[in-house]
Amino acid sequence: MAIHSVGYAIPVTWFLTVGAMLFCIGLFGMMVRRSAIGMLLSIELLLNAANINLVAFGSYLKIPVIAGQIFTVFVITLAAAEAAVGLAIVINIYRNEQHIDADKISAMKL
Amino acid sequence: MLAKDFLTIGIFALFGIAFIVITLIASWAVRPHRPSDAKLSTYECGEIPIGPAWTQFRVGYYIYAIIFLIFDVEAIFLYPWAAQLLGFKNNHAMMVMGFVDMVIFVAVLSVGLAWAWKKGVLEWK
Amino acid sequence: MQIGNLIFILPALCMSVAAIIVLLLGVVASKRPHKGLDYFFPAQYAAPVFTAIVTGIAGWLAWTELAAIKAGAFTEQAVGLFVVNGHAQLTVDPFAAILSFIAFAGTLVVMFLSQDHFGEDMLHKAEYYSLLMFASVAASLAAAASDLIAIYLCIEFLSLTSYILAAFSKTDRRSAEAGLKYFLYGAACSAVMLYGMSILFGITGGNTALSAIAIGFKGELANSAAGWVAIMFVLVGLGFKLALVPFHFWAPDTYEGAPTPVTAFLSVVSKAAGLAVIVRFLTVVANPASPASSMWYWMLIVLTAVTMFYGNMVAIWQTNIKRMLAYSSIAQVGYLMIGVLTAMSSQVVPVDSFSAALRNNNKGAWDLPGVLIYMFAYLLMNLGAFAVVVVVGKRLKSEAIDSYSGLMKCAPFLASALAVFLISLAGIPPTAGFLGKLFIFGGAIMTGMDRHPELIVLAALGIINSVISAYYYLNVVRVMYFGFSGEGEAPAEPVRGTFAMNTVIAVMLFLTLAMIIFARPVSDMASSAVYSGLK
Repeated sequence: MAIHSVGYAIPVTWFLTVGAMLFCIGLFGMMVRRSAIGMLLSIELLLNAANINLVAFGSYLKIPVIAGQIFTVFVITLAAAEAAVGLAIVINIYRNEQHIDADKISAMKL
Repeated sequence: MLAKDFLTIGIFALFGIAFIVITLIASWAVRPHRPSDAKLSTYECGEIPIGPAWTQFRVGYYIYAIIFLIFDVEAIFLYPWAAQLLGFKNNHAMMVMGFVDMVIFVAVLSVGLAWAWKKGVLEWK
Repeated sequence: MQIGNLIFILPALCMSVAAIIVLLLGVVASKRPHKGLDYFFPAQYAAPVFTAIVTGIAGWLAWTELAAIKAGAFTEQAVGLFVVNGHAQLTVDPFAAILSFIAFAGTLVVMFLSQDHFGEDMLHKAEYYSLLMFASVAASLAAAASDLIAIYLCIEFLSLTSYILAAFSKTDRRSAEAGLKYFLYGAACSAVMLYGMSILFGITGGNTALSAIAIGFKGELANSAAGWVAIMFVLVGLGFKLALVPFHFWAPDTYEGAPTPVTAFLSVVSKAAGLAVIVRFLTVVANPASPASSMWYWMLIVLTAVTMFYGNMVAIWQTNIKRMLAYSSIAQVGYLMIGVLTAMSSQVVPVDSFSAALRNNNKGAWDLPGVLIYMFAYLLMNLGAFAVVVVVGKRLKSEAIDSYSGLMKCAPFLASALAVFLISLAGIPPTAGFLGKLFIFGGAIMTGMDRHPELIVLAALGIINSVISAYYYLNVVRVMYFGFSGEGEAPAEPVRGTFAMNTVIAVMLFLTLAMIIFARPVSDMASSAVYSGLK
């Protein structure tokens, strides 16, 4: 592995663990949440789990690289755009259905 | 080393919490307790509140918020750009190119703003 | 810097500018009726004009790249590498150029479909057409992306525009539902893909370029568990774009609920982009010689087989033609994946990058020309079928297969065109679909006889599936010609498409039938796009 943790107080695995926990919480949320807004929140968690990984890897490499942080900046802006599109779709659903319960939205048969 | 780092944070956190708790307890101990209708009502910048606080906002508000969110977050690109441009002090060509790139980026954002403006998203009807 | 290289993404750049112009056309509307720019040059005419020009540029670009390769100049200048720190971020090789031409051509057809479907007085039409144009830009760039950041950005750009397009009919409950389902599945899958990319970034020592990741996968990473997990996660996101079976749940509802032109777009252009990315990604990490990689190689083989069977088996029972085409397009991706897997299996040693793989190709067993040919055939026949569905659906206000009964009597041209497109989708000669399947299955069997018997099995399953699919495709033809369940109740008034739609359908019909005549030049072009290193 090209990763070392000598000279750092906190080993990189701690960051990765936080990332993995966030990822699991996000996935769990995607599965059990019924409100579309709750699912949007879970997606943000998933994206931020990846962000933590990227930044942690980027600064803990033998030769630290800036690419991880650049990637993260792109992800943050994309997350905002995604949230905007998602909210717009959810508002539209609310206008049509008067609720945002993803389980009950089924005009079409499965 | 690790323990020392966390000790600093721990002491800092302890002081932060203690400060708030002590302030709240002290003010509760010394203040007079004489409630009245006017005092118990919701604080609304001096206005008399109408209806409950948990009302639905107009849809126009959400669209305004979404537009704000986008432009707010896009500004994130300006900071690394500004910091990096100084690094090209001795490379005129790169500096010009970096500047032109950012002008294009802001121009595209402005098109979005112009579109939202003309669509009437920014009007508070 | 490589400003001269910008010519290679000229189509995408032109399309972006054109999309902004179209977007602004929507807000310069004059207050007075029959005056102003939006009256003389409305978005629904401006967008196809711009797209036609851009499609021309993309075609010219692909042609010059192919010509340069024929002349023996397979250099980095010829394929338009956008290199940063020694690694390419975009690789506009002929493969990408042809797929981006397919994306723009598909978008052009989708625009004609939209004109007919939405009509003149569509709400927010400038936004609709500019979103369509932006989506095609994303698809064209995704075909060239060869860096994790570029891949993620292109896939997300394409997804975000597609979410809005799917939910575009704001007052239609089904469209809103289609958009929501597409968005929720898509956002979750792409977030999982991003997590996989972050692991790849870490284990390869902070590299995002595919060519750098390939070096890692040549060595110790080929057998590492972390590498395996990362690939799996990335494949989730790409599988979603292609609607491979475990990630297909969104497809039927989204395809049925979205406006029909958008469904056509999602089933062709969006899949072309996903296909390009998965080919590029797998080429880099593929190493069936190593145990860990072969795990997901075998897994993909199983998924491909399941995808074909699932798509066809469920399509048989559909009564809505859009839903039937949705399930059948799941199966069609299975056929395309056979081609991709054949290409992967014949590559024993992983190489630095996609272009290097092309250059070093020495076995000639790649099935990628077949993938390109089938993708083009799929563009023609699927968009053709959707064009007829748009015209008929608009006139009859129905998407049920029953309502097509007796269509032959009241609309002979439309009915026979749809029949040809469906026959082509089933892969019956003499159509474009047959040619594509011939290349894909033939390539799989030839490679399989060499050293990969599993590919022969896969090709056999593909042929069985083609027979199954012929049942439900030909069922529609039967309904059109002989009426549904013997009733033969023809619609009251004749169904006629507009002149523009009839022209579009006629052109697609001609190309679907003519492709087999031009089989030789088509296959030569596809091969030189892929085997460019042979010369």
